[in-house]
Amino acid sequence: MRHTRGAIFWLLCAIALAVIVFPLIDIVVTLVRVAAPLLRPSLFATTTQAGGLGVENGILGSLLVGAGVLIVAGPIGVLAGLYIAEFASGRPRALLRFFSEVLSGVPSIVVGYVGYVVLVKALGWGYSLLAAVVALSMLILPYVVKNTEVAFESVPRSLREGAAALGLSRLTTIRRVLLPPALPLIVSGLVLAEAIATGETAPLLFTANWSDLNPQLGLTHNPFGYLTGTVYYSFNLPSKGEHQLAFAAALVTVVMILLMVIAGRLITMRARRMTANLEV
Amino acid sequence: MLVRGRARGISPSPAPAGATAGRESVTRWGDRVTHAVAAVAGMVPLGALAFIVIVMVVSAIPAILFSGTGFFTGSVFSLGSVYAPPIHHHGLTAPFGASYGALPLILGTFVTSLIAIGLAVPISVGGVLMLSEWLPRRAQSFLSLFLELLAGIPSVVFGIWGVYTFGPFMAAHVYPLLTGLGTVIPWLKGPVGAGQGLLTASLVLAIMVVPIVAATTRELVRRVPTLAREGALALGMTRHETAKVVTIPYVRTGILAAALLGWGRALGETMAVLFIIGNVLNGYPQNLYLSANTLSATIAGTLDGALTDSTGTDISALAEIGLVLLVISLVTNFAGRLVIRRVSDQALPVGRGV
Amino acid sequence: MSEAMGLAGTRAESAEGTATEGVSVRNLGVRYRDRVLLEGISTEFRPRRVTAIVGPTGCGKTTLLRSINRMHDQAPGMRVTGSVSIDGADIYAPGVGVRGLRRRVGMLFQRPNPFPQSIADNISLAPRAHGLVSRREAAHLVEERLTEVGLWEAVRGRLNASPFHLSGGQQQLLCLARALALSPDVLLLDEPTSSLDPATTEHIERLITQLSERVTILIVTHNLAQAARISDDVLFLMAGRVVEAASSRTFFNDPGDERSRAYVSGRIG
Repeated sequence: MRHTRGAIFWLLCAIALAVIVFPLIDIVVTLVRVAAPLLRPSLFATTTQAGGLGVENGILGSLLVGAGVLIVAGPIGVLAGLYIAEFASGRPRALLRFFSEVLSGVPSIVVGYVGYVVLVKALGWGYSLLAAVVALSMLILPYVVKNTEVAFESVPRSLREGAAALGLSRLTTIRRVLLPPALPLIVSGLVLAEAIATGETAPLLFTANWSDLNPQLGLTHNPFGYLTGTVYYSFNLPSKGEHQLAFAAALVTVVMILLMVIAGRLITMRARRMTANLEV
Repeated sequence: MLVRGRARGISPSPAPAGATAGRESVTRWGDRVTHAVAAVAGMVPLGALAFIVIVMVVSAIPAILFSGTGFFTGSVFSLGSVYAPPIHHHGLTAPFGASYGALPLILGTFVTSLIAIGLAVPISVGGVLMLSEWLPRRAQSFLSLFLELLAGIPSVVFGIWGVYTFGPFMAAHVYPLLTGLGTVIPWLKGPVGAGQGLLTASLVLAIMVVPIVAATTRELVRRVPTLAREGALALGMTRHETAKVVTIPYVRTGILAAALLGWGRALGETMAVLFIIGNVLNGYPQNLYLSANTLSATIAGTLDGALTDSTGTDISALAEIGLVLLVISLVTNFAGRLVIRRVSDQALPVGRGV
Repeated sequence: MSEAMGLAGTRAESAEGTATEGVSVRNLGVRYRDRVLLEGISTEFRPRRVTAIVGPTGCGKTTLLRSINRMHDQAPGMRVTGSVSIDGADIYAPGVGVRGLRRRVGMLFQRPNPFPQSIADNISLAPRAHGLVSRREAAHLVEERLTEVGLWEAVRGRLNASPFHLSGGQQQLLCLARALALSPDVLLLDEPTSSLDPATTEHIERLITQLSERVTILIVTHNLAQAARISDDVLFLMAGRVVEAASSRTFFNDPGDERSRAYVSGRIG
């Protein structure tokens, strides 16, 4: 009796594990299977202009907006994380940390709406790189902040004490003593934030809108394409080729994101080993 | 021999004192600037949050005045027609035939997200227990990578997978079996449709929030003291009983927090739902298999149309939807973080120093 | 402009030639929230001597040591009362720069804590930050200090390498060289050999004796034999209070307090 109950319990657990593992595999398999006819080099050299079946405009747009997000949210997020970890204390610190975490709970569609109303309309930037970058930056800021915070906090206390005992200034302590061991975790946080930005759709629909052309120069009044947009818009089109393009774009997006996630993880693992070294 | 110049006594500073103090004032200045710049950056997340809330509230005011409580009780959400003269109501203008009743959307959001989280929690806990009790350590770190990858799959990709593969499969092979339960749960009676609808959306949402819940659960399970578990095993309990008596009670509060966070994510999820749920703006589906709509999918699906309305009330109605969504998301997020704070204060060592 | 600030800085920090040399503690008390860690500590640490601070675990040895370079400043909830003077100047007086103080008071910790910088930078970082040496002088300083602690031969070929490949003992020597690079007047050692092998311990003890010819040294230790080997004076604490302050010879051969006798003979502690 006792063992039958146990067996049923573990059987259900095994099914649960399978349910966790199966979808990711099936998603990748589906993407590869449907996208197969389009998977050749010309996919990357063709835009969606005039019914073209390619991801060139999508990739260029995604890379541009990704770079922009790194430029905007990167420094702000790292400095904010530094402030929370190293400068703030007591109640202000707890509140700043709490609200930064809560910001991560804002639905991305709401961020898209705010971007549309304020950036595209009220500020008159139109559908543009600038609007898209600012909206996406709001979205990923909390991740950069959190990872930076954790990075600084995981530096062993003995190093801080050593720096303090030598009378080093705060700036020198941060730059020369805390930053080297914290840097890998900060970088992996940025990489993961970049992965999140690459996969977002909703905020871009209302700030970048869409263009079949490659991105043009100009920060404002320049709608542009992006990979998730290729997936979204092509999937809704009736032709078989467009349909395949949606899956091909999805595959490219997923591969990019998976590479970023793995890179972030490798950096984190190296960082852990390094921090373990710091404590003799 | 080791000490060079030991006869010197206390070594004098190699530089004059004035230079040291000058340097001191420079570093003090550098410290202040760093502090100030970091403080400004530190306020940005809080500022962004406040900014989002204010923009949503202000944008929603016209629609709130226009529909009043009708927003929460009406069951027809229609942007109206811009090809007819606008109507006037409560001193506001709106397109002809406009009606902003969001009850079906609110219900759709709650139903999908609750089904999703209701499934994601047992799946996550079961999977993590299986892993931590039966599989080697290597497999565990592999799963955490796997969960990170699953979390990285974009919502829009889940959407096309749900429509193309998952939905049709479920409609063909699984939902017909579920209709057998129709006598117990009336909402599970047929017809099962083609796989786009409330239930498929809920199931895909469940898969999407599993990484959040499972990753947290894994952390919590790892923190269960080995001593407590070995104590139970030493009493002759089976692994199953140990899990029930020691592990699960130990992680229960943490899982509640994770569930709240996951629920918040499911509430706000847009693109996947937009694809899968079938987008019906008015009324209620007759069962769980058929099309419905949620708050977030409605914003994404109708913004284009709302933009053509010159009175601006349509776009404001979407803001009201967004505001409701924002409030629900923030409340669940708030609650989850408060709970997890309580748990981690118990579990983490206190007094982490400077 | 820097001249004026320099004067303001030096006046408070070094107060030349007025009172006695060495470290003088007057009625020092340290509290953490409601807990009393130290109370009514008054004692003198003679200049250019080694004073061992001993006592049972939790008696406040390390707390006392950390009061002398104001390491408690950062810890919220810590309150320090009374005064500590170095060469006659109160280090807790208003206007005293804590960084200037710590330049003159070096510290070595229980476990080596080299910075994640090259071996050479570990030593030159602080003197450079304090503006004591130029970039060119720094290279010379690195060699001088590494030679002083007997590490030069071992690391001369890899000055730009990470210090984390050194053995624990070598790392601790590097940290000692790092502290010496600021030419401190006072050196605070917090159980510096507790994590090291006997050979390195002996080496460091020899260094301490040599350094005491020019530096005032305070060493916290659990190891009574070590205290007997290297100290000139002993300060014995129990429960946050001074039990006995005596010369090493007196403390170990003919202690004045019954509790000291019990501690020395191993009956308490």
